[in-house]
Amino acid sequence: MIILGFLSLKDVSLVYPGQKNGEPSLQNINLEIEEGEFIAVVGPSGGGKSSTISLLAGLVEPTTGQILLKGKPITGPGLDRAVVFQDYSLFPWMTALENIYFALKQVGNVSREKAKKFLDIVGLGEAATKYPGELSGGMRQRVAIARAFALGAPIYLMDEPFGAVDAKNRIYLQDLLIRLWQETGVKKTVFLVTHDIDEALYLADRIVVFTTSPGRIRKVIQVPFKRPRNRIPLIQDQSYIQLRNELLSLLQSEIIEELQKVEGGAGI
Amino acid sequence: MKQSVVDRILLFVGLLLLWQTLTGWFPLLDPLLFPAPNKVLSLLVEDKSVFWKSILSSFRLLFGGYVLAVILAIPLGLVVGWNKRLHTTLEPLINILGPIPPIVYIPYAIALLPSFTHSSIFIIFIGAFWPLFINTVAGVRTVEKGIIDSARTLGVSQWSMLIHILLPGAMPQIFTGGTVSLVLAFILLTAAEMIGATSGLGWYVKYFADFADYPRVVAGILVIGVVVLGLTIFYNRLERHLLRWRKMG
Repeated sequence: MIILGFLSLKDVSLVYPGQKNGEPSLQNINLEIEEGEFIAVVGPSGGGKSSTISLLAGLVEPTTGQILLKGKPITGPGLDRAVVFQDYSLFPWMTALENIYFALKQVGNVSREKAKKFLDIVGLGEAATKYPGELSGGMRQRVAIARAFALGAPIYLMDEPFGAVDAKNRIYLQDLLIRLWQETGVKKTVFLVTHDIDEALYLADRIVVFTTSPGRIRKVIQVPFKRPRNRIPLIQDQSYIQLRNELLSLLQSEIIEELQKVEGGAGI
Repeated sequence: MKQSVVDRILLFVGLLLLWQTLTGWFPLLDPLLFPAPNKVLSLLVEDKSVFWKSILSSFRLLFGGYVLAVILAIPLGLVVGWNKRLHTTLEPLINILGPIPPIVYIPYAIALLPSFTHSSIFIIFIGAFWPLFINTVAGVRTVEKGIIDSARTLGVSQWSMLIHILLPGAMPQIFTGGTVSLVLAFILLTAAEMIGATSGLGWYVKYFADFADYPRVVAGILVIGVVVLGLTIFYNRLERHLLRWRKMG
């Protein structure tokens, strides 16, 4: 039971100006997130997952409703929330080190050694002088994660951060994320958007399933597995398989409904 | 030696031989209008000090106008490209003023400004300003939204947004505009010097053309070619350095 929500969305709706038919991207979103919680969001694309990240980041304002952080409404971007995007997190004209250093300068915590330290943590100390264009997709995301954690923000908003990364690197990055999440003193609150059900089950405390047009929360699922979690035993666990199936059918029914609307249901 | 270097030298020697053939060995061209290469080349040495003085004089006008354009067009372009309301307001004005050929301002420049130098710098400035300004505005507006969002989530100040995000983000297009500006500035410079100057590369060519001294006219044209080449090489080096983050990996 949560009485004082750490991060809460109350009746949040979002209509982008100029959107066709004025159809909302998000409708009546209610969600209470505890401090230190790891939330994963899954759902069909175009279902308002990214919009939720933009709202929490303060990049857009809700059309109606409120987003409260420790009881205070979010009015704009802030350094208490670090954001990792699927792409474009890094500035292409700054080297890996400069990217982190630039972020640190915004917090006023300036030292190149500190920036270097975070590059070392993600195993990219060698690539300090490389530009993002010279790095692979996986390496770029490691730098982006290093930048986010260097900021020392209590909240992490991640929009499909591993979406464009190959399977092997994704596993590495997931473990890195869990390590950083647990390691650095106080547990951080993470809000991670993903399209990978296994990723959500492996990482999250709770999984929020979104539905599309308009974006609404369909279901919130508690993930019961103890930490530290181990991949191999986990995916063989009966309750894991059950949860996974439940999530799959939730998402698939959504897709089938969509297809029926478009195609008239032929062949489904 | 690399094949490409050999090819280029061969081309150069070939052109020189062709020139020598048509003017010296089998003079098919009017010798008054088309002097032989040895005559022209010896003038390059003979008039060396005049050429240096001319280059210096031309550069004063060129850089006076061009640097002024860079200093004004880039900051203004950044602000106008970033501020939506300002951009919407100014757009029609930019569309009208931008395409006007700068030479039409010559009567006003002469009437209002105290000297030939001032007038020339002003005209060169106008010519260089618009391509730089328009490309800076367009460059800012094409910076990826994701990059701007990323900067906003870091809580960067407006100043930092302009200097550290929008300026480098627009830099590729600023250089595109800068090339057009430089070419235009050089054309305007030479034209201005041919009309009213008493020194400079354009003046040199025009002055000796009036005396039908065609060996010197050709020598002057060659020097202009070399100067433009030098400027282009410097400009491309600068571009490669400032945009070294691009197209790698």
